[in-house]
Amino acid sequence: MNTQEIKDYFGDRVIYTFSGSLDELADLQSKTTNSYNYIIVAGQIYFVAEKSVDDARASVLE
Amino acid sequence: MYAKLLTGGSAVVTYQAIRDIARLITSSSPSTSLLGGFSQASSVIIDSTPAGWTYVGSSHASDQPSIAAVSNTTYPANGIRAIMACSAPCLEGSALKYVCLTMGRQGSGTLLGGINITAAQSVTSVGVATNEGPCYYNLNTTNANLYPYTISTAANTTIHLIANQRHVTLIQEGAGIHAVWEMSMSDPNRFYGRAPVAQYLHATSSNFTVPENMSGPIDFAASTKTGSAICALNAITDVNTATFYGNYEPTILGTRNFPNFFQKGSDYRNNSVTSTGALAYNVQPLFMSAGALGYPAQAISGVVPVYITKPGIGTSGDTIYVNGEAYTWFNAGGGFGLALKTS
Repeated sequence: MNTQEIKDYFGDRVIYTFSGSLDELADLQSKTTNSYNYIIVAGQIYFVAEKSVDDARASVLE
Repeated sequence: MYAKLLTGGSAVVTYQAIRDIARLITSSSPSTSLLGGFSQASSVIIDSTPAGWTYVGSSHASDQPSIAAVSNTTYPANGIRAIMACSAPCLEGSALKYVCLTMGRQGSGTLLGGINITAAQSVTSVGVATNEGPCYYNLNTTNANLYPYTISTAANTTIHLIANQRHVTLIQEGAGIHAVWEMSMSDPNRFYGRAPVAQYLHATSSNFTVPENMSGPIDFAASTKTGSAICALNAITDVNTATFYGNYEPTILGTRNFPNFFQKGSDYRNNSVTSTGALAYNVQPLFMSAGALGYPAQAISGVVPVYITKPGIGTSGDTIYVNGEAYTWFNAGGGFGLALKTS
């Protein structure tokens, strides 16, 4: 999947890349009570969340 | 477990209906006394075999850690999407499957927003869901009517709730279904340690349109996605590319991976004939076939006691025989009927 296909997959939502592990993402989202959906493409985690995410490991996909 | 749930002469608050469903599928003794929204007087528990699900939790504080109190009439605030979740083991493996019960339209001011059932990879006790499956909802409580896409709790509605440890199936009489179904295990599921789970949402089965890509719940107010039939596999890895999909649904690689779910019309499963020329109904098993991702065909029928039929072949509650075994037939609208065992 290329970037456009990832955007198409998630639709009209803010997509984040995550530089940590899946366990770290789960821990972050649990602590902030923020439901999320993710996809892994070529080892990179992309995710969308119910609420905005403020964490250094999460960057908005441009 | 089979509960025939009636709203009666007045609409039922959707959040109460969700609580009722969660209570019933997690109860060791399903009974109409567990109903706080649906009419206790007119609803009926037709098969009280416990469904065997476990209450996980909710994002709504008053539903943590329990929903036992039938008298609870507190609701989520406007504009907040509340999740209520239950889990059950699969036939094989340690991964649990999760069912999320949510409302189509949110908020205490408009609580008649319709029910959604979705699968999820996991849900915490405070309702944090990971990879919840696709559905429509609306945070704008004054916006579009979601009933064509959700199970209605309007007045004079009958909802059939059928569940065992393999599935939760909600049928709105004469309209459609929302369901989470376990599938047969596959080697890729074993290798990746994932529960084999599919969800199918088709609340108006006479309307056949598949939405654009939907990776998860979609705010109806902010989207033009209006397809009526939503089908997805939960938490699945493409064996060939190692791409992990939180939810994999047919518009990503085409409906060829979902060979026998979607309707082409009400004659999609038309009449058949016996060897002696007598009328026979064309009753078909349900299965998935995500061959493009490296998965074999995975049976739903046989794991979940369900078959899909032509619509209108009888009346809900009729007994029909599939390969000599008795099933209960349900009128799931103009697209199809469903035959299910209730225990």
